[in-house]
Amino acid sequence: MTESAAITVPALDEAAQLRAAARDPAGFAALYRRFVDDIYRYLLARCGDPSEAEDLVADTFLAALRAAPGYRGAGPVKAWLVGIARRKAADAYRGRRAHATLEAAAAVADPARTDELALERVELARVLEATGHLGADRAEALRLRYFAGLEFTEIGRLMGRSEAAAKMLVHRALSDLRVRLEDPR
Amino acid sequence: MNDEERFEERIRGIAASVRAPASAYAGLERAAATASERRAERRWRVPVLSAAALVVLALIASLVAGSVPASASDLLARAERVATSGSTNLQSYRGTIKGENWIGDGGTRAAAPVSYEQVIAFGAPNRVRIETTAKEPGGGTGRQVLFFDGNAAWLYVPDAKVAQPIEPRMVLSQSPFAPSTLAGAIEGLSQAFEARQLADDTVLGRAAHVLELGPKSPGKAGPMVAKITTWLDAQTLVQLGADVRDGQGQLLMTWRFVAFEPNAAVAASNFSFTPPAGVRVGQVLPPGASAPLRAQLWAELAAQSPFPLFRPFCGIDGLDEGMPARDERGAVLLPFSANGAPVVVMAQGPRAAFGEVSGEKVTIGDLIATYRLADGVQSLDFDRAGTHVHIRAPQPLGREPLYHLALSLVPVAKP
Repeated sequence: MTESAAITVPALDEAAQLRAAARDPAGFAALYRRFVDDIYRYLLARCGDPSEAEDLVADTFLAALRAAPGYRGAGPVKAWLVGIARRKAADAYRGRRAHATLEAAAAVADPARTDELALERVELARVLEATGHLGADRAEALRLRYFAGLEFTEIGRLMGRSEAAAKMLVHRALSDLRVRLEDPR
Repeated sequence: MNDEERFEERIRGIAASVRAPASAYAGLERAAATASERRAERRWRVPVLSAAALVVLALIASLVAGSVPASASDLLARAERVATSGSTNLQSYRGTIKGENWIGDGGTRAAAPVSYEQVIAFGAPNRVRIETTAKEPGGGTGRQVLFFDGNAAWLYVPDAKVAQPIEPRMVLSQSPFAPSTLAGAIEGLSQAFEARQLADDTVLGRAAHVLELGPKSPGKAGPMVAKITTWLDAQTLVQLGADVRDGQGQLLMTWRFVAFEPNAAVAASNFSFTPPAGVRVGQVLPPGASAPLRAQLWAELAAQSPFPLFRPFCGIDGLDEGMPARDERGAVLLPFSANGAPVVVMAQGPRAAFGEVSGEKVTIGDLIATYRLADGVQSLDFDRAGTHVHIRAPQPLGREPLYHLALSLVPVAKP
């Protein structure tokens, strides 16, 4: 075996993890490990800079830790965390346009994977770049769906839309993205 | 699968290729430490942190040029500009702060304050040494020292003989100890607070301007803070004191300089730090604060592992024991690191998860193990109660640390 193998998270009940996080750092650790990749993916897609995404991840989980006692259990914990991440990103990047570089993409691709996937890194950079040029709602819906890994119901709730509207936003975002990737002009 | 579905899968796959880098896990330790500090009845650390945050405010002010602004908002605006570009007005100072802090566990106001003292040496543009001593009502005390020489930052807890190098980027974004957070902190101050100027006052016999800050949005300033009153030295604009109050007007924190010597001679050696012999370089946490965190993780992993799991009851001198985690093949990893870089990794799992092992057969207590040193990499393999244990050291340490680690393993009970 290798020491660089990806770390996975013990499978525990989400709400129980959040309750544990409110009581004990151990619960928070489990919560963090379980969701950190999703939150990081979303924040990276949102801000485009790996370092800033890392900082926002820490901000998000610290805010979650403080807010955990008030969690009422309405909806999945991941959606709740993504909601916090959205607010953190909005605070940090208000008025700024996300922009990813090829170097950034190279830095964020899974370091355990080999160079044969360099193409995937380049593709990630292209996707992040193209996403930044989509309409704001479509881009956000796309990030929430594919980077944060949320269901349409949760996307709709976070964006103040119906599930059907969220599904339509994602569909249109994908169409726009495809056009832009195939013809970046 | 049509073209649209293929494209969707492609995007999904590209997104899935992103993983949070290992450095992101620093946030876990940081957050866990914060949580532990709040919950472990070690309230002396809260004033240490909070007082340090106020020192940051003091240092912000220390960077401001000396002329008097026309209004409170001007003062804040000038402070923000000067904080980001520096000042030649104040080259150094020495001072001592005394204060009290009522902010208790869970962000509620405690019945009795924790008292603290900070001895500060400052050198332009951002070098600082802050020695903080805090005493809680029950008599418990804590002491720690922050060093920043403009390049490297350290947090040192002399009593525990542990020192932590602080990552510059973490310092910039998170740590209230960091002098280099000045720009960000004052940006946050002006964004979060409305300021109005009160009548001038005197602190330590020095003329001081007084600002009253109220949060623009209560959520921005934290759930409790309703008002901050701050005294700024009229000559240098160093913050000489502050009172923080809640919505009922009760003090949450109060502090003043009890000694202040601007432009004092401060040797550069005050700001640099080299861990002395016998000091462990690692994570600064209250003693035992991470124990429940580790115990819980071990228990969770043991519950989900189909093989008996063992954890060491002693570590390796000079190395920090990391957090246990499971890898993608189901083995449980435990890293031991120096300055954040793994030096030794112990893996446990079913025998089938590991390759064939060859090397020297050794007897360690009641263990029969295989020791190997090849291409500069040390390894020790053995089986215990059906679990294979693989200890690997890419930078050879000698046999003894690995042997001691093997002997110290105790079963982890399943919850």
